[in-house]
Amino acid sequence: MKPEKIAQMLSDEDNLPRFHNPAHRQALERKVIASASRQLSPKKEEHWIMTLLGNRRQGKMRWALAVVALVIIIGIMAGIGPRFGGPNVAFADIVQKIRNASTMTFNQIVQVKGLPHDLRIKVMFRAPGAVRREMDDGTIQIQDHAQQKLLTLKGLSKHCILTELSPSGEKEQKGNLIERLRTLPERASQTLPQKQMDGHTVQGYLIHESGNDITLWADAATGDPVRVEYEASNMPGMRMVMTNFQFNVPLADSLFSLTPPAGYIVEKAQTNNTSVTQQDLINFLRFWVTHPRHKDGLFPPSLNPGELAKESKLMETPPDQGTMVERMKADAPLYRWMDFIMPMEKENDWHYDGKGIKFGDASQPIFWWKPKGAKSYRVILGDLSVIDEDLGPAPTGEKIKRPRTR
Amino acid sequence: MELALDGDPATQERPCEATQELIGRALADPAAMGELYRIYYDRLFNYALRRLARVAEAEDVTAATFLKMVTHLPRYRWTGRPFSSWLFSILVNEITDCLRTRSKVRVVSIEGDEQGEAHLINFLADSGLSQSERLIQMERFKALHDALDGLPLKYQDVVTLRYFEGLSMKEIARVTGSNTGLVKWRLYQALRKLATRLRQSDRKGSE
Repeated sequence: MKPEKIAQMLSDEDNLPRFHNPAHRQALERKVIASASRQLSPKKEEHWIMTLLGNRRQGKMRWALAVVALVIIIGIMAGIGPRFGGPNVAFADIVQKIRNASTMTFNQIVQVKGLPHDLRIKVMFRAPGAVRREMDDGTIQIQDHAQQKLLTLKGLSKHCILTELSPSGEKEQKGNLIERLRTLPERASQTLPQKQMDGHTVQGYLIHESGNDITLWADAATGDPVRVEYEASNMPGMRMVMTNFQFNVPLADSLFSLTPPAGYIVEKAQTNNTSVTQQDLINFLRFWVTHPRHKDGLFPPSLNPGELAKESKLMETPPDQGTMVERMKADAPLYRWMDFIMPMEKENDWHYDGKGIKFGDASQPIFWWKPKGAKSYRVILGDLSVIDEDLGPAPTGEKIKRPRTR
Repeated sequence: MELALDGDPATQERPCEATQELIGRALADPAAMGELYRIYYDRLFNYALRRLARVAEAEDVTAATFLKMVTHLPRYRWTGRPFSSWLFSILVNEITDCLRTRSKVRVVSIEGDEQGEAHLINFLADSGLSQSERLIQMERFKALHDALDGLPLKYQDVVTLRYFEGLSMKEIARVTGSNTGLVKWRLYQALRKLATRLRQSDRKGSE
């Protein structure tokens, strides 16, 4: 029997009896009305008090509105009020300013829902591809795309890791925030109203691309970016805010030096960013369900990094086991999968449905997506096997008319 | 025209403005609350009974839903979502709780299964069918219900909301608090599972 046939059977009125329960209907109606009356009666008593309070509030509100109006009028007369006009600087000019900058520095705040505090990073960029990131825990990362190297300095323990990066592919570029800023489209999806921010009158622009939202606030007079907010649909619960932008300021070569400082213990590592595949997601799911912390064998409740951040941290290898590189290698499955999901686009139509599913249940789809250009969906099942599934003409579009039950 | 409606087959004659207006009145007038109840009772009770196939349980979850409607109505905000979606999300939660309790607690019924079925027939609405036609309809329904019963609850929700209620993918997503992609997938999976189950029960029947 085909699913289409089942759909037909379920839609067939001959198979669906209509029920009628007048006694219950009447009895429940009395209860509902009585319950509504009970709920309303105490409110009636306080109604006049609320009305009075409301009137007082309204009176105060009127005064407050009058004061605000006065301030705005005086401000406009003095030339210091908010501007109500359209943008003074073309969005394309702001984009060019970012794209053509030889250097760029800004402060980045990464907010992850579920984490007790935000991650603060001071970012320095020098064209064409040198980046220095100074984290608030003292860790410094220096990355050079041309040399394909990443130096991670752990100041407190005087440790550093020099990582050989593989050639950055399209996927990695998509996940790179600076690259996203430098490749903004010439037109914004939406212009937002002007407002005051950090002492500037700013004009807002919303750029919506592949389900990701970038909101750029630029000085309305000069076009200098003041604040950029970034939210990726693939990473719900995570938000990045960039402020204190400076462009074309001289940055010393030493800031981007890939030579480990004297006195540091050097470890060497290699990454292979381009090879992140579905297997990395499978590795993560297997790591999760077989980890001693998850004796129930249940899959993670979601694939929201924010929601998983705390638990993932607890699953990491303890600091007293192995070298930093060994721990990084051991814990890689906990994080590499994000590089698989992050570049996915709306057309990939990915879904996770593993909450409450036990590892081994091959009848349950856990994760599915449409690989680029594919006609069918790829599905990871509860036993972590992978199948390709053609959803075909799913019984979805047709309208079903149900007769009224009254 | 459809945009101006509640999107609710049972109230298709009621534009959404009329539903909003009635909700507004129901917040201050118990009689209007009664009116709201009368519009949705049959639809909610029917859905509950088709899902649970036990009259007492269907009565309980329907009652719990409407009493929650009274309590939570002041917090209801019109967001363009049909009022029936809001009611159904309460009802679906009640049904889930009921089915979970049922699976945990073994209910010893005084009535046997057959008597239960006969009991259900007493609640059939008058549809012009003869007694024998009614029996056939109940038999078909029982076969479908038995097959549905073996599905995970989240699959049962999408199938029944889709086919018993005729809700769109978007409406089901609203009721179940998920997204249309997930609803589409669950529906597809559920139908495949149902097909397998019905095939198996057919084979058993013919042996």
